[in-house]
Amino acid sequence: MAEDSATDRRTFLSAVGGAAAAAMAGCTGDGTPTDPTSTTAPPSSSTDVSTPEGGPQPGGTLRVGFESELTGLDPHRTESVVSWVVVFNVCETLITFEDGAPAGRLATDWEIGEDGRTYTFTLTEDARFHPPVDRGMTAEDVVYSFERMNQDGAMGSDLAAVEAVEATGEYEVTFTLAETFAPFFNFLGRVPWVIVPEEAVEEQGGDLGEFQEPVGTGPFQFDEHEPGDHLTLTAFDDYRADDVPLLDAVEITPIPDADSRVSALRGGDVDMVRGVGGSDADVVRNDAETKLSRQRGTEWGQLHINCSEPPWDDPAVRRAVAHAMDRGAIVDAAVSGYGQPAWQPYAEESVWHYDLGDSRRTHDPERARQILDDAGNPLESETLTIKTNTRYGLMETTAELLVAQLAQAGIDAETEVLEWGTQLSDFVGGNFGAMAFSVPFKIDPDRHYYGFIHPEGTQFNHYGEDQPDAQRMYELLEQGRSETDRDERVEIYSEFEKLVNEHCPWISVARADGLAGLRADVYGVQPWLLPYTRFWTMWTED
Amino acid sequence: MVSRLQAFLIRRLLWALPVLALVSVAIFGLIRLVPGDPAIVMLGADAPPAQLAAVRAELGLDEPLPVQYVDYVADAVRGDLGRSYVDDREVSAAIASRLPTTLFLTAAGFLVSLTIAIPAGLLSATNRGEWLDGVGLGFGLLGVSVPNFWLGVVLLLLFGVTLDWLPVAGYVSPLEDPVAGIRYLLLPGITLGTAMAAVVTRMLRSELLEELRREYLNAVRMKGVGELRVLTHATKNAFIPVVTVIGMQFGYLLGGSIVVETVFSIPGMGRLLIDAIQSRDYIMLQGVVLVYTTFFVAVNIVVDGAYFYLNPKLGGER
Repeated sequence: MAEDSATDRRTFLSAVGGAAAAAMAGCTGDGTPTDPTSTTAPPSSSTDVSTPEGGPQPGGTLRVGFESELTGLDPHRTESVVSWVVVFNVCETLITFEDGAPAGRLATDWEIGEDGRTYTFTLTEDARFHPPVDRGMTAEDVVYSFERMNQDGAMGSDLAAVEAVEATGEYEVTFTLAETFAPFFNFLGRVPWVIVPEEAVEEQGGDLGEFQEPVGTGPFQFDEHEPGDHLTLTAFDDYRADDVPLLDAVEITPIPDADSRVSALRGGDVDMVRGVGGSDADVVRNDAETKLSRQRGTEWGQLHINCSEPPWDDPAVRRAVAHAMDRGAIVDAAVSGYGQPAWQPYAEESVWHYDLGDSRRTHDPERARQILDDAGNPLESETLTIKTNTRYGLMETTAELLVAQLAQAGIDAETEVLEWGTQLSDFVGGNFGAMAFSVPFKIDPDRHYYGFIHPEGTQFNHYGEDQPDAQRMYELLEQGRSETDRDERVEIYSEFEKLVNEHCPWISVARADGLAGLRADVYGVQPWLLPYTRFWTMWTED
Repeated sequence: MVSRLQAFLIRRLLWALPVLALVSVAIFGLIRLVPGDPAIVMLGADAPPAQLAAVRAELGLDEPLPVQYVDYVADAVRGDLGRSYVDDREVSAAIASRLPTTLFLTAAGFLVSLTIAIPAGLLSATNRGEWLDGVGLGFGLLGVSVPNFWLGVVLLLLFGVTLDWLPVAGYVSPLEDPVAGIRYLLLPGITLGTAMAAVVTRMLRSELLEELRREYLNAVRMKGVGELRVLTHATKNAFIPVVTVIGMQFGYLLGGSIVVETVFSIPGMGRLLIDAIQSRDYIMLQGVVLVYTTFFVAVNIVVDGAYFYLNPKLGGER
């Protein structure tokens, strides 16, 4: 790429920084806020503030209880968050996010072409693959990894815009996109976009899904995995950064039952547990031997609506339901206050947050009645059905409370409780009027909105052209994708949020916090908005 | 020359074949009747259609049902239960690695229950109407009423957290480290065995009471035999129906282990089953359920055999 055709790194940072700032905005400290009764303590810092005298100590094994069984460890084909956590500690992405901005991981520098279609990454020359591969990583490994993960179009639309991945030097990789695609850069900080060595993959069979003993360049190396029992990671001695990782090993045990997980932590059987429920959070926080790590807004709950299904195709019905909903009550009941009522996925401190002001559809049963009256009572002799499941507490509570809240506004409704797999199939197949749903937080707004609305996406909300401002909303989503200037994108998504609030193709309910429990002598946890626990910053006093 | 017992067992084994065949149809059919596309559950709502299609093809879900079934049975008979879609493990290997754990847990529950039930039943029956009997009866009622998932959590909080005497989660094989193994198995064993202990206590008590009222015991007593010997005679006879109950309960222990393994995070077959259900790992699920049912059938045959052995006159009929 010619010098003059490339924008400098700073310009690029401003283009994507907003997303990363949003990602980091909710980070808290070690989760022991000064006011133990406060459930909405403001974020303090992204590092563990309770470091004792003497500073970090190397050595020791951290025993961690995971919220579910590991479902496959092939870095390029894992389907669960817990598997991502393992992969993220063993293998590395090109970039990551630190202190509110994209930061290098395997890439030390990058440039984006003026046309927004070429991304050139300069790679570190010090990255080494774990034994038995035991060699330096080069640009060819990056090319190989991206070809492997996307074989037979496995990455779908995420990589559809990528025309070519080329090694333009021993330590330089260039991605060429067929068209500008703003969310692309932020993907690169996540699993499965990690770099692996071809020889190790081939050794284990080669096919996607067969690389179950991952080898990478990360601070920890895979040691052994006894499915259901434990997985052990050990420190990679040749890791390129000094004093990283601090721990000698991490031993992971799946403890799927939430009560047992918290008991295991309190009983000292493990040093850390992921996935603490809101109802257990105060127990962990108030126990002298344990502490709570809290990350605000890792999950976004909403009422998904099929806008082509009567009576939900009537915007007045959707607006009335939005006013009947008491979000605060749902947050209190579903996550014991460890979350926030939300009218959009992005919190106030995020650049993607749009201040709706007084237009926000707050809890107002009278207003709900009025809207229906004005629309000629479309819900007379109608019973609304809210689909939900019992596997995910936020969804279950949202549906149950909403039915009661709708009754207060004179709207007859019922829940239909489904098995999770059935609900998911109904969601994808459009077989629903409304359903309580939730999705993990996503850094880039495109990842949330495009699939919900746009006809070329999955269009889960079936927001057809006959719906108000449909064409404008499609256009905004297209622009949000292709525009690479951050400020422009903020404008675009602000207008989009305004229209969502107006026409309610879905109704945002809450942002739930991600909670982890720690023994009192565990330090260095850095919660962030991505669901990956980074073990390499952690240490224990023991 | 086959003995009557052998003939009986062979007959029972032959009967087991159609049962297992029926079971295989049921497992195969039920899993596929559940609405919801496993490919979507595995890959998530926003998975690209091409990938969904690839998964369906890999699972054989795009084949007609009879073809899928014949493939499944043909492989299963050869001991090939397929490979897990989720993590590419061989199902039979996964089961083989989990089976000993579940068997140890079940054995622990079995041991706990008999250790409690036999003395409790005997004491209750021989002290009829007294406070000891009240304790036995009370235990018999409480034990069957308390759900094991609740009992497990309470034991775990009491002994694992508050008193901190025993480990809360995980498992160590008693073969590798007997002391640690027993420590890990104690709470799950009690949780699992309590319900069975209660059932067996009540059963033993009532059978023994009935037996103690029988005429022949008076004749024994008149011959000058001591009360302890009388009790031994009575107990031996009372045990015949109790053995049946114990055998049937053993099957329930296998079922109960699913819950207990989840509560205590024990990596046994039960956890394998729950994980397979949650991730809709059809192939794993089929294999695990098949092994569970095979065990049930096998336990029943063993119980019938034991019954026949104890009382050949009955010809194995209960």
